[in-house]
Amino acid sequence: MKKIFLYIIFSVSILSCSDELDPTLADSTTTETYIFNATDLRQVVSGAYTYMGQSAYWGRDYIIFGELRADNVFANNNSGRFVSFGDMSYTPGNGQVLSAYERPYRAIAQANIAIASNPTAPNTNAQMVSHYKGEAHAIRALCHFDLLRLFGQQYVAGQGGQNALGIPYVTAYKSGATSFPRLSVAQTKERIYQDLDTALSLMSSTGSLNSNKAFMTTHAVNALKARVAVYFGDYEIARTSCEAVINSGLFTITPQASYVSYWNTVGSGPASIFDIAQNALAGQNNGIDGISNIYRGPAYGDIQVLQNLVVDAGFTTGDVRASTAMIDNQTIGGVTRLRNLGKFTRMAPSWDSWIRVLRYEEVILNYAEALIPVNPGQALVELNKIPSNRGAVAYTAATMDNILAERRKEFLFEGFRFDDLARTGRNISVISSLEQTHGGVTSGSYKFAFPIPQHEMNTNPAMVQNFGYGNN
Amino acid sequence: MRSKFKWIFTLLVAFTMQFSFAQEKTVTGVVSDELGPIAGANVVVKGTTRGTTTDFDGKYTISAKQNDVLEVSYTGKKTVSLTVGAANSYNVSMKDDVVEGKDVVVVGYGKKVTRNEYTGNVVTVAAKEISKTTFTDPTQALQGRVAGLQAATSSGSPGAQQTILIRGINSLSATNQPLYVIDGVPMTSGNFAGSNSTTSMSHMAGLSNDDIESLVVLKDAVAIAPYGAAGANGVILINTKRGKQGDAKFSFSSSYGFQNNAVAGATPLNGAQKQQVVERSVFNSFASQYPSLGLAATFENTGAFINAAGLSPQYTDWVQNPRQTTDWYEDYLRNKDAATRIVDMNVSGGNEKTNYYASVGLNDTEATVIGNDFKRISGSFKLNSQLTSKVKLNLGVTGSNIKNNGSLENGAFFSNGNLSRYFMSPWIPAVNADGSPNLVMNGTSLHNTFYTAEKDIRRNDITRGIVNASLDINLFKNFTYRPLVSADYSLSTYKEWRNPLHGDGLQPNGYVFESDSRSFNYTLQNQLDYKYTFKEKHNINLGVITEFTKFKDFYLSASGTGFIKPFLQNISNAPLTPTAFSSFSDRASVRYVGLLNYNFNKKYLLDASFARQGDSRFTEELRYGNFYSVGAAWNIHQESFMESVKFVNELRLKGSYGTTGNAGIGRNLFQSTLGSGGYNGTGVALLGSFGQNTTWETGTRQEVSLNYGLFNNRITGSITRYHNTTENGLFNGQIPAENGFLGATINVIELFNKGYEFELNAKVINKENFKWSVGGNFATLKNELTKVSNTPGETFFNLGATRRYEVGYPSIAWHMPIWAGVDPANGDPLWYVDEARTQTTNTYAQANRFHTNSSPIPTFSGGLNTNIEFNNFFVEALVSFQGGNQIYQDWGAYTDASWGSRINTFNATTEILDGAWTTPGQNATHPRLAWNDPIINNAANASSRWLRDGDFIRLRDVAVGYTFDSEVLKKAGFTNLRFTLRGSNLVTWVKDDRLKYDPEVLLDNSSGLAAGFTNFANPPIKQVVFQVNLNF
Repeated sequence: MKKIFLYIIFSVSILSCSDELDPTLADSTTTETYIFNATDLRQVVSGAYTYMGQSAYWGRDYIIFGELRADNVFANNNSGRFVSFGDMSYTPGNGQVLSAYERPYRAIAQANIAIASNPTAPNTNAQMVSHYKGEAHAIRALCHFDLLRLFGQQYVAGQGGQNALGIPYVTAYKSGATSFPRLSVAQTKERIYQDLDTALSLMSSTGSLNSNKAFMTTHAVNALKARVAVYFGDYEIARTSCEAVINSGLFTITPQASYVSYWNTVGSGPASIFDIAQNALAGQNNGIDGISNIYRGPAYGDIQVLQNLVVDAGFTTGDVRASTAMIDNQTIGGVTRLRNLGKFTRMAPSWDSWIRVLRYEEVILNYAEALIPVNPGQALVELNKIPSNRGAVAYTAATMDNILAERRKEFLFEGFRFDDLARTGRNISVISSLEQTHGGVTSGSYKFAFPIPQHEMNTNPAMVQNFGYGNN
Repeated sequence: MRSKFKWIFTLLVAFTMQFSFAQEKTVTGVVSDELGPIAGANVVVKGTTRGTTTDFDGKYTISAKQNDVLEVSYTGKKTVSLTVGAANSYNVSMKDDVVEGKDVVVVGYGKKVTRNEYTGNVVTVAAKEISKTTFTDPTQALQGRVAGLQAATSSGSPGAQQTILIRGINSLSATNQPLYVIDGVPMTSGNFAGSNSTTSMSHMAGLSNDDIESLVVLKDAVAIAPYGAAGANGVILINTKRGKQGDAKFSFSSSYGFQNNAVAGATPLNGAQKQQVVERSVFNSFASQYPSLGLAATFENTGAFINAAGLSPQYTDWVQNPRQTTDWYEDYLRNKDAATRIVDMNVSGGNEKTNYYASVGLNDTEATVIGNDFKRISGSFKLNSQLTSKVKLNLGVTGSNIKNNGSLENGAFFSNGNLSRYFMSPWIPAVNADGSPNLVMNGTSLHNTFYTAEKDIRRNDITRGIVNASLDINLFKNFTYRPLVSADYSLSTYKEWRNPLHGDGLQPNGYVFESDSRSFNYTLQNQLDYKYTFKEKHNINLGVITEFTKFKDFYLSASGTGFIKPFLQNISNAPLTPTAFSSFSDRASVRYVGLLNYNFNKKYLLDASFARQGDSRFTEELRYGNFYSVGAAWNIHQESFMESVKFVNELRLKGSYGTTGNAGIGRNLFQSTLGSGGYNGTGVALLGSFGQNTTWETGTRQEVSLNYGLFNNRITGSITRYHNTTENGLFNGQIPAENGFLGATINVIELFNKGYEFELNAKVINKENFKWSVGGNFATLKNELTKVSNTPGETFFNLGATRRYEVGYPSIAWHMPIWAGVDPANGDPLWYVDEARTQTTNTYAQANRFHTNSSPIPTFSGGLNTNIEFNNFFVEALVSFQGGNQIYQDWGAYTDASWGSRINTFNATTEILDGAWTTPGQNATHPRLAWNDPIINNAANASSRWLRDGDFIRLRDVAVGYTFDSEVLKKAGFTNLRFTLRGSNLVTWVKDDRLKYDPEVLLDNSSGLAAGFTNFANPPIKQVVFQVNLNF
C-alpha cells in the first residue's frame, strides 16, 4: 500500500505541475504591452512608415491614381493592372479600392497606438517621447488627408463642397467602436489641421531628432500643412506654413545640373523634406509590385506615358524634365513605348527608389500660388524659381494657369495631377484618344471620388456610399 | 519447439492429476481477450449457483472441486467452458461472439463496455478491415463503412491528407476534422509537409496499417464526452495492437501492387487536333480578312492565312516541320502502374505478468505522376507488465521516418504534372532528336516539366516518435487510478531546389530553400475509475479524467540564390539574396471531465458527463467552457414481455443530448499583436493581428436511435436520427477597415446539421464452412446556416466568385451567374439576367449572380459490403457512394475554353474539339471557337456552366483470398498462410457524364482548401495488390 501511495504522489506531482494556459508570444507582443520606453515608441511610430511605403499606398497606388485619372499617362493593359483606374470605371467591389482604403487606416492605427501610449520606464527621455508622439500626429494627419483626397466628395458636383461627406477620422486603436461615421469635408480638414498643430507643439524643432528626412520633421509638418491648405484654398495658412519651411534655410531647389541625379539617388537630397525610404533589404521594398516596375518593368510596365504629353504639357527645349534621361522611348521585346525613365528608377534586384512625398519645389509652388491673391509680384518671383532651375522659359505672370502648368511639369509622374485638376475645377481632358480610356471626365463628375469599398458598406453600419455608386 | 512444450505440459498435468483429491479448492485466473483483461465477466460453476464476476483486471476467484466445469460468459463473447483439474489457476481467453468485434466497444480512454451497457453511438472497424487496406492512410478504410462519415482525399499522392466529415460541416472557420486519439491520447493532426504548395503529409502517414487493432468512430454526445469539447466533430480512436500471453507469435505480411488514377481525366488534344481547333478559331474570327492577304475566305486557306499574317509562329513551326506530336502526360509525366510495396512483421507474446508486441514495417509507394514518391520505415513496441498485485505498467513506443518527394500540386503550378498535362503544347517536343531534354521550348512561357520534375527537388524527411506510458493502479476495491504521460516529437525537414539551367530556377540562377520544423507535444492525464454494484441490480461506474496538453512548434528556414554549379545545392553555395527565418509558437489545453454510467439490471441505462475545458487559443477571460451530456437507453429485449417474442434478440431504444465546443482555430488570434519589420534599415514594430475576443464555438449534439438484433442476431442494425447545431460559430469575419484590419476571428455563426442514419447487417448463410454476410449503411444530411452576422439585417457574405454564406442555405452554397447554354443561332455564350431565368445575355457583365440551389456538401452517403467465406476461401467487396451535391470543375475555364489564341499557346481537352458550336441551329455544349473575342473569352468565366453533379458510386474494395492451414504447414511450424488479391477503387461510376475528373473533392472549407472544386492534384488512385500473410 505504501508503494501505491508513492506512485500516486509521484504521478500527481508530475501531472499537476503545469496547467498554465497563457500562450507564449515569441515572435510578436501585444499592443497593450509593447511601449515601455522611448525606443519602443520610436519602433511603433516607424512601423507606420512601413505601411505608408507599401504598394497599396504611397509605394505605388496613390501615386498612380493621381497620374492615371488625368492627362499624363495611361494603363496599357500589359499585365492587366490599373485598367479600371485608367478608364475610371472603378466599382465598390474593386480590390485595389479596398486596399487603398485599408492601408492608410493601418498606418493610422500604428500612430494611434503611439499617441495613446504612456512609456513608464525609468529615465524615459521625455523630449523623445514628445517628439515621436508629435510625429504620430503628423502621420495621422497625412493619412487622413490622403484618404480624403480619394474618398471625400469635396469635388463631386452637388454634394455640398466642404459640407459634403468626408471620411471617418480615427483617433484611437481598438476603441471598441463598431461603427465609424463619415465627418464632413470641413470637419475632416479641421481635424487634420488640429493634428498638424499638435504635432508642431509636441515636436522638437531643432537637433538630431528633427533632422532625418525619412521621418516626419517639423519642416515636413509645415510643408504638409501648406499642401492641405492649398488643396482647400486656405491661402493664408499656406503662406504661413510655406514661410516656416523657407525661413528654416535648410532646403534648396534642386539645380538643373543635378535634377536627374536627384531622382537617381538612393536616399534624400537637399530638396527632400520628407521621403519614404525604400531599402534593398528583404521586406523593406515593394519588389515587383513597386512604383518603378509599374512604370517600366518588362513584364508589368502598365503605366505608359501619353504620346502627346511632352507637347501638351508645354515643355520647351532644354527643359531637363523632358530630357531623354527623364522621358524617352524604351524598346523591350520588339515593342517601343514612351516611358518615365527619370523618376523612381531603381529596378531589380534592389528596388530601392525612395518615395519623394514632400519636396522643397512643392513648397515654393504652393507659396507662389498662395501669394497670387495678396502679392502677385512676389508670386511670380517664387514661381520662376522653378523654371530657372530647369532650363525652362520663365513665366511673365503668376496666373493659376501658369502655376498649374508648372506643377504639371515639375511633379510629373509623382501623383499630383488629378488633385490639381480637381481642386481648380478643371475637366480631365483627352490629349491622346487612342491611349486614354476614360474618354475625358467633366469636373464635378461622381468619378472624381472613389466608391466606398463594398467591404466597408458591409461592415460599417454608419457608412454612406458615395454619390453615383448606387446603394449596393 | 512449441509442440514439444505442449507435450511436456500434458505429461505434467497427467502426472499431477493422479495425485489429486476431489476436494474444494480456490481457483483463480484472469479472463481476457485480444484487447486485454475483461472486467465483469461471469464465472459460474456449472450445475450450481456458485458464481462470481471478474474484477477490473479480469481476475476471478472461485471455489470449485476438481472436475467441476467452469463456465465463463460475457456479453458479446463466446462462452468458454473449462474443467477444473489439478491446477489452481486457469486463465481464460475469450473470443468475440456473433459479429466479430461489434458488440464490445472500446470507448473513451480505452475503456471497454458492451453495447448493452452504454448509450453512446460507436462504430468499430476492426483490424480485419484496416490492415488489409493498402492505402497509406488507414482512415481511408472508413469510407463506406461508417454511416454519416464522408471522407475525401486532398490528393491521391501517397501519404497525403485525408479530410473526414462526421455528420456534416459544423464550423465555417474552425476545424471540421474529427479528433484523432491514438491509444487514449489525442494525436497532433495537420500537415507535416514542409511546404503548403507541395503534396501534404498526413499525421497518419507514419503509422503502419498492420499495427492497428481497430478504428473506432464516436459520433454522439455521450460517446465523445470523455474528450470534452475536443470531440465536437466526432472522434476517431486508433487502438494499436498489444501483446498477448503465450509463446512468441510471428506474423509476416507483404503486399505488392500497381496503381493508376481511379478516374482517367479528360484527354488533352494531340498535335493534329490542336491544329484543327486553332484553324477553326482563326477561320471563325478572321475569314473576312483572308482576301486582304490575297486569299479566298475558305477554311482550306486558314493555314496559309495564319502563316502569312504571322498570327502564330508556333503553328507555322508545327505545320512546316514533321508534325511530331508530344503526349506529355502519357509518354513523359505519367508514372503508369505506379508500384506500391509494403512489408510488415510483428512478434508478440508474454507470460502471466508481462506481454509484449514489437513490429517493423516498410512502405515504398510511388504516385501516378513522376517525381512523387513515398518511403516509410516504421516500428512500434508495446509492453504491459503487472509490477505488483496492484500496479500494472503500460508502455508504448512508436517511431517512423518518411521520405517523400512531393509534387507542386496544392495550387496553380505548371511544374505539377497533372496540371501541365493540359497546358503543355503537343507541338513542342519533350526531348530532342538525340534524346536530350528539350530546353528551348519555343512558343510557350512554360518550362519543360518533364525536365524539372527530374532535376528539381521538393523533399520532405519526417521523423516522428510517440511515447506513451501509464500505470493502472488498483487503489481499493472497485477503485482504479491511471496516470498517463505521453510525448510526441516530430522533426520535419524540407528541401526545395530549383535548378539554374531551366524552369523556375533559371532567372535567379538556382534557388534553394530549406526548413526544419520541430514539434514537441506532451499530454499528462489522470483517470480515476470507480465501479460499484449495489442490491445486485444497480450498476454504477464513475470516472474522473483530467488532462493537460501542451503543443510547441519550432521553425527555422533559410534560402538563397545564385549558384555557381547545378550540382552544388546547399545554401552555403548560394551567394545571393540569402534569407533566414525562425519562429516559435505554442498552445495548451486543459480538461476536467466527470463521467457517470449507471444501469439498472442492464435494462435501463443512463450516461451523464460534465466537462470543463480551457484552451489557450481564446481570450484569457473567455478561455474556459463548460459542457455536459446525458444519454439514456432502454434494453427492451430484457423486458419480460419480450420473452415471448423469440425472434428478437436485441431491441434497444436510446437517446442522447449534449453540448460541445470547438477550439480548432489558429493560435493567438484573440491577441492584438505587434510583430517586427524594417524601415529605413532599422527594426520597427508592425501591427500583426487585430485580435477580437474569441471564445468557444458551442453546439449541441442530439440523437435518438433504435438498435435491433433479430433471428439469433443474424440480422442486426440501427436507425438513428441526429440533429446537431452550432452557436457562436467561429468565423474569420469582416470588420470595418477603420480598425486598420479587414478581418478578425469572431464568434457569430449559427447553423445545423440533421439527418437519418441506417445500418443493416445480415448473415445470410452462417454455417461452419460457409458464411455469407451482407451489410450496408445509408445516411442523409441536411445542413443549413441560420446566422452569419451580428449586424441586424445582414444575411450573407459572398465567398469569392462562386460561393456564398447565406442564412437559409447550406453552409457553403453555390452562387454565381447562371449559364443558359450556347446560342444555337451564332454559338455565343448565354447567361440568365434575371433570377426567374426568362431573359438571357451574351455579355458576361450583365450576367447577375444567383443561387444555384446546390451545395458542394453531399446530402446522402453510404456503403454496401459483402463477405463470403467458404472453407478456406474468401471473397469480399465494399461499395461506397455519395451524392445530392454539385461540384465545380475549376480548371474548365482554361482547359475547355473556346479561346483560340489561348489554346494556341497552351492546349485544351478533346471536349472542345467535339463540343464547340459549328453550325447555326446546333445545340452545342461549348461556344463557337474564336481567336480572341471578348464575348467568347468571357464564356470561360465563373458560372454554373462548370457545375457538375457530384453523385458517384465507387467499388472501393474487392478481394479474393485463400488461407492455407494444412497439417503440412503446421508441421513446418507455421500457423497459417494466406494469399489475397485485392483491388481498390477499381470502378467509379459518375452520374454526370460531363464530369471527366474524379468526383471525390474536398468537402471541408476550414482546412484552408476550398471545398467542392475539382483540382489538378494527384487524383484518387485505383490499385491492384497481391498480399501474402504468414503467421508462425
